[in-house]
Amino acid sequence: MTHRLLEALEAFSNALGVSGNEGEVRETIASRIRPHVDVLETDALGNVIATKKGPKDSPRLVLSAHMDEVGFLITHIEKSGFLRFAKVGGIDDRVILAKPLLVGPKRIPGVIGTKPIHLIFQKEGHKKVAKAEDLYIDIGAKDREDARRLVEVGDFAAFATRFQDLGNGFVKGKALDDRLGCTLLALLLEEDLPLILTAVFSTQEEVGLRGAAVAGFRTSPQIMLALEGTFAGDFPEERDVSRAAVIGRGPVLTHQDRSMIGDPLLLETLIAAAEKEGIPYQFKRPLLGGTDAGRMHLSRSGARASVIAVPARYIHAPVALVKIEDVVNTYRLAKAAIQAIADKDWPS
Amino acid sequence: MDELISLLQKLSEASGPPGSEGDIGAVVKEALTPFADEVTQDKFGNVIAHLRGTQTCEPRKKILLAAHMDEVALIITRIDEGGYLRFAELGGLDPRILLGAEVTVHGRKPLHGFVGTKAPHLQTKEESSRVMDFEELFIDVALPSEEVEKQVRPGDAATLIGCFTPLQNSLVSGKALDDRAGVAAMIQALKLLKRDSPSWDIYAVATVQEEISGLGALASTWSSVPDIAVILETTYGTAPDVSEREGFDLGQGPALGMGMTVHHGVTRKLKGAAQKTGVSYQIEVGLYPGGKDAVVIQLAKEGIPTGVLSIPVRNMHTPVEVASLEDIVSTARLMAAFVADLKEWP
Repeated sequence: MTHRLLEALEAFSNALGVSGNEGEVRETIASRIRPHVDVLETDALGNVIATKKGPKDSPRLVLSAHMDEVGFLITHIEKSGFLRFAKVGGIDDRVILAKPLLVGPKRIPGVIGTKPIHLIFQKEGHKKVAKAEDLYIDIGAKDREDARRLVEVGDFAAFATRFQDLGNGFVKGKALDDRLGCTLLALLLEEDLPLILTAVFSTQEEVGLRGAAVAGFRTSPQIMLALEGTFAGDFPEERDVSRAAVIGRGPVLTHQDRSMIGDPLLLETLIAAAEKEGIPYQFKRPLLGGTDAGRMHLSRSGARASVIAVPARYIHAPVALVKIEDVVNTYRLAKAAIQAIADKDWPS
Repeated sequence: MDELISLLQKLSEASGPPGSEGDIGAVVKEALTPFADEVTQDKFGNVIAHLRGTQTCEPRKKILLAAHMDEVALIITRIDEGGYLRFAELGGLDPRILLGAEVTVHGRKPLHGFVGTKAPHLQTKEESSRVMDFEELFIDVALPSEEVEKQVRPGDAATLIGCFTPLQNSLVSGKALDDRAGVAAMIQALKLLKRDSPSWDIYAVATVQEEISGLGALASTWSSVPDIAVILETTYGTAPDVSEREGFDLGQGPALGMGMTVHHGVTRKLKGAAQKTGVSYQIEVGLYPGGKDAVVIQLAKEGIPTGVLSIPVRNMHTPVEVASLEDIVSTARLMAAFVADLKEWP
């Protein structure tokens, strides 16, 4: 199981899919799940919606994970051949300086440049945050014409980080938010399931939960679970305060975040499933972040919704770090949750 | 060009924090060996390749070529609770490039590390809108603290992880091109000189500790006692935020240094060699062109006439330095032509 999870996570993490440009990751995920599902469709916003049959047809369960990742959009090509860009999704300006990128569908390598410390030191330039709008990408082009052979305004750029098993129980890679969720969902579709499962691999989550808005309408869930990668803030100075989530303590459950108050009965069901299976779990610090569940629980006449997330350090940065044990435990919980949801009589 | 790319990649990826240049030293030694009569390493760690010239008169004339092989790095100052490593800079670093960067911590064994800071939701408004300085950053090696205590000690170094990547138009990106680009040019120059059988003896030295002091170059100058020296360094490349007044265009050849560290006679001869070989060059005027090595070599013993050739590099002292392979090739050609032409000095 662990090997299959890591192999899928590696392929999904290395695929590019900046919000609105999810083509490459969509194809990677679709080709993996195609042999295991009964229906596979792509909707107008690029969401991949798959259905796998099971013995029961109720409740109508939808599991969702978002394919898109934070990144950049090329806004201008200078006469000198350097590229100007805007951020796509929530990226802290302070993590992007001097990082390698891949630009556009042709994966042209480039780097975000910076004036060397020697030339800014005296004016204390290193004490001012470098704003994304003042930065540029260097692909080595001679001039604008040369750059336009390879890149156009409107192309995306993604962090160039390669997935790697660190050999100490951790793996690192880009876009673990939410290729972790995509990995869990893709592998759940390879299992024998107790009921009909609809899987949504959504687009544009990072720019306002947009794919989920229309996927919710189409799939009309009674119960929905978002599978996520959520940030772990278990860092030195913070031992006396809430730590968001902690690496190694298992899947993260949500009472309430900025996008949703979770359904209490569904949350209880998840907790009972975890305890029955002996899976460790933890709660996310309330009121942080938001997920596709925030959008999909409002679909049509509403759905019971909750989130199961893998804790990961440094999400929304060039490289994130996740403990393999947490990935495995989150998978076990998601699988147990499907069984528990199928077994329960849900009040309508 | 493929041979140069693979040499530069090996040089760029090897680690050489100031004071611990063992790994890069071994790579450089192996690369210099085919083109020298003898390659040695001194007590400091400088790698010295000696190619004997054809001259028969005593005292033998000697030229020192120097390029530094150390790189800017971090030094671990403390292990925090939870196994997070605190650090300071080893050489001049911009703290702003570190968040989200990956590093290798050179403990008992190399550890993969990630530079982080206080969690975003716990940063105050003031903290989240300003630069996090060195003391607010940490390295996370994703190990339990007992294990970190076993593997890492304060004083261990950490180097930036770069991803060596060819860009368009013969540019390459990677870490430590300052001054591995200069080291590559020196190796290539020695290769050309081995073929040309020059008259003078050549000491091609990959120096240590330039990023913090230049003391490696000082030691190597005393041991070779050259008649003249040429430093192969890097200088700033132009970019949208580095003007033509501050930097030099990539792909236009090396910058010939002019300033207090540089001897006019050597510069004149370098210009002559450039004209003869048709290599284009730029002129860098500054107080101290050629970095710390030029300063100390010039002042060694009774004084050494010193010249400086610098390869333009963008994003200097970051994991994504960018240099032109063409500049490395032309620097090597110019250097070799200069040495091959040496007969009398002055």
